[in-house]
Formats: sequence, structure tokens, C-alpha cells
Amino acid sequence: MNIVSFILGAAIKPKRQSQRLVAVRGEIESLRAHYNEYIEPLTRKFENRRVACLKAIRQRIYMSVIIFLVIVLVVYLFDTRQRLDIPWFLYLLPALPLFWWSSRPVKRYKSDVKEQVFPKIFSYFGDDFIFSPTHSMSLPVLKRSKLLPHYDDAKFDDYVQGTYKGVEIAINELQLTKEVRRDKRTDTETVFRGVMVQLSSHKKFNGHTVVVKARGGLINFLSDSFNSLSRVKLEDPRFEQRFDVFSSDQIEARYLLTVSFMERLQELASSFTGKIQCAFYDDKLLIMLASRDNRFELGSIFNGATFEYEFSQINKEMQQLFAMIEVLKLDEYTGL
Amino acid sequence: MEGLLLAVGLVVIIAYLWYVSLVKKRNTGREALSGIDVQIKKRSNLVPNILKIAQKFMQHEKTLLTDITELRAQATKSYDTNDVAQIREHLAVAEQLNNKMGQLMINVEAYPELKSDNTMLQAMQTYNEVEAHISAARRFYNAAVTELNNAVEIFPGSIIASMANIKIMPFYEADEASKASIDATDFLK
Repeated sequence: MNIVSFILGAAIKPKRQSQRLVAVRGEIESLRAHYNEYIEPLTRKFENRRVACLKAIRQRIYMSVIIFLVIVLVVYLFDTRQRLDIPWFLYLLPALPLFWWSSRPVKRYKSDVKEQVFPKIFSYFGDDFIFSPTHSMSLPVLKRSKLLPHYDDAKFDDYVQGTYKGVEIAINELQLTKEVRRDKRTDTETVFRGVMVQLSSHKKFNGHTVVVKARGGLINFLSDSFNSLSRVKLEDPRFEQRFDVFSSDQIEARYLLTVSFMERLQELASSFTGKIQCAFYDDKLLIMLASRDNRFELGSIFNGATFEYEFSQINKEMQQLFAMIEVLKLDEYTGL
Repeated sequence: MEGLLLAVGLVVIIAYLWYVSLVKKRNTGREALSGIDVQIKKRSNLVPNILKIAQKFMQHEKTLLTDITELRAQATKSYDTNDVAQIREHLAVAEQLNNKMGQLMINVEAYPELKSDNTMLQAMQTYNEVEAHISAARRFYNAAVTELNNAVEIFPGSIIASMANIKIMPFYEADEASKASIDATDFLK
């Protein structure tokens, strides 16, 4: 079903057919076991909710169209009789509350899924994993990373927190906007949209190291620094083509950016369409993944409420993060 | 005449900038060398602790333990950072110590009691960490030395370098023993 057939009155039926869980070989059994135990019992309830929600939306859309046409007709007659010359866009004004009212059931459904299903998905990674649409990271801590572009307003969205091998993980969606003056008006421009991933480390980072998107040969020729950090030239030409590294400690930067870490970061960058940047500071690793996708969101409401796609997708992304922890050995305590 | 003066002025400015860049590269090389020394010092501080624990269990490895003690003493000796031969010797000793310590870590495997000793485990983990830092310091040093040596050896940098007495620096290379090919049968006996 798609939006057109839905509006035209296609039959709304529950979809009980299972999609496939996707994971690397060897992991699929544990993924399936967790799914069967915690998520599958919720799917019947949410499939019924989804069907009820779709029916409610269609009903509201039909009613909204009628109400809208009646309002437009009344206003048009009033306008022509009184000769008020109402601008055409004012006719569209009633569409806004009607649209809001029509989309309410889907918003409520999605928010219920986030509240009840997503915590179950994240519990697969550990008992202490929490998913919250309201929590957020500390903005001053993020600012200290030296990665954030200039912005005027920050808006956080979904938040995930937990620990893996004793390493604290925090993931938060973030949108940064800036006010830009154009002629006589001020526009709001998005300067960053994506996910911030913060990993704690048992090791102490003495310096501050950032890995940013390659600035280009000319800029690097003219300036060898970035926010008062000096350039670190690495041996991997493929990595150098993609990223520039700056640090206050040349040795620590090379200690952190091992060949396997560089490989892992490039792999991570390839699996995300947007740019990826990271910073090692305050005994933390902050990864900044620019992405237009709204993560930790439910797929289309026209798909059955099996949540297998969501579970597989979230698992894939979390496994990449865990691999980073392994590569960097952030979990190891040492006497240094 | 004015043109000639302008050309001479330009040459002097370019030569000066070249000289500045050479000095900066040499200083980066020295900074990188001191970075290695800091890490070697960290390792040297760690070695006595490892030896103390190892001596309790590894009675049959006396020669190896003595070699490590001697190399540690040599590695912490001061040397002239302007003398290429001394730098080369210092780095060679550091690499020999690295090899001997590697050998010790392999031999630990033959002593289950020592291998499972908590203090030894912690010391070995810290040691591995220091090794990773030394490896990073070596990467920084070799990168700095490549830049310096290229600048010193390529014309016209070679002329300015010889006038300013700026010399090439030796690379921190792996020891001959670690470069040798491994005979698997030695380990499968």
C-alpha cells in the first residue's frame, strides 16, 4: 500500500508476515532469540494499533477534506459578497490545523513504539541500555570537542545510553542551526544534522586530537593548524585523502590513529552517506556523524509492525560502534 | 642596477625562508626524538617491576634477564642529540631492549604460574600500552626525519643546510633480528 492507494480507499489489513532479521553469521541466533522473547510478543498488539491508526487517519483525512472545502466555500462566498479581497493563501490557513489533527494518530503510534518497543530493542545490547526521546548530552562538553561548527541554536532528539565492556556509550541526535541574514530577512540554516556518539575511555587522553573531513591541499598548504591544534601527517594516503588530523600531542594522535582504527573509521564513513568527524578529548571519544536520516525512527506506517528491519538496522550500527571500542581498546585499564 | 638589487633581495628572502623551514624541520625531528625518549623512559621505569616479578619464577632465564638489565641501563644513558652516530646507537639500543622484552613476554607463556599472576598481567598490559606509545613515537619521529632528510638532501636545500650545518637524522629502524624471517619449526618443536 502507498499513500495514493491508501487515500483512494484500499483495504487496510493486518500484516502478520514476518520480514527477515539481518545480521552477520553467528549473531543471527542470538538476535532471533532476543526478538522472539522480547519484541515478537509486542508485534501483534502494535499491528492491531497500526491498523486502527491507519483507519483513524483515513477517516480524519476524509473529514478534513470536507471541513476544508466547506470553510473555503463559506469564506469565498463571504469574500465575494463583502468584497474583502482576501489573499489566496489565507484560504489555505484552515489546512494547517486539519493536517495536524489528521496526522495525530500516526504521531501517537510512533511515539508509543518508541516508548515500548525501542527500549526492548536496545536491551539486546545490555540491561543498562536506555532509549529516551527526551534526554540529551551536555552541550558544553560537545563544544569542547572543537568539532561543532558555529551555530545559534541546538536541538536534540532521541538519546541512547548504555555500557559495553565497561565503556559508557551515549548516542544523541542533534541539529544545529544558524541565523543567516539575507537582504532584509533572516533565514535559519542547518549547519549540522546527524548523530553524536560519545564513548568514555578507561585510558587517559593527555592531548586533544580531532579527525575532520579533508580540507583540501590548498588550505593545508596555507595553514597547518585547526582551532589551535597542529596538523598530524599520517602514513596512510587513502586516509589522508579523506581526513585531516589535528592534535595538541603528535605522539598520542599516532597512538590513537593506528592502522586498524583508520581502516575502521573509513569503513564507518563508507557505511554512512554523510561526513564523519571525531575528537579524542577529556578521556572521551566523540564521533560526529552527519546524516540527513532521522535515526531510531520507525519505518513507514504502511509496513507491518514486525520491527525486524528496525532491530537489524540498529544492531548493525551498534556493532560498528562496539568494533571501534575493540579497536581502540577503550575498555582496557592500564597503569598509564 | 635596481633590478639586480631586487633579484638579490628576493634570493636572500627566499634563502632565509628556506633556512627557517630547515631549522623548523630539524627541531620537529628533535622534538620527535625527545618523544621517543619520554616513552623509552616510561618503559625503563616499568622494566624493573617486570623483572622483579619474573625473577621469582624464571630461574632458567638468568641470561635474558641480565641482558635486559644491561640494555635498560644503556637505553637510559644521556647522549648528544646533535651527533648522528650517537642517535643511531641510542635508537639501536632501544630496539634491542624492545626485542629482548618481546622475547621475555614470549617466554612468560612457558610459566603458567607467572602468566596467571595478577601483578604480572597488569604489568604486561601496561607494557604493551607503552610499546604502542613507542611505536606511535617512532611513526612521528620517522615522519619528521623523512621531511628533514628530504629538505636537506634536495637542491637547493642541500646548500643552505650545509651552510647552516643542518644534518640528516637517522631513521628509527627495526632491529635486524626482528626483520629476519621466522622459521615456524622453531615454534613447533
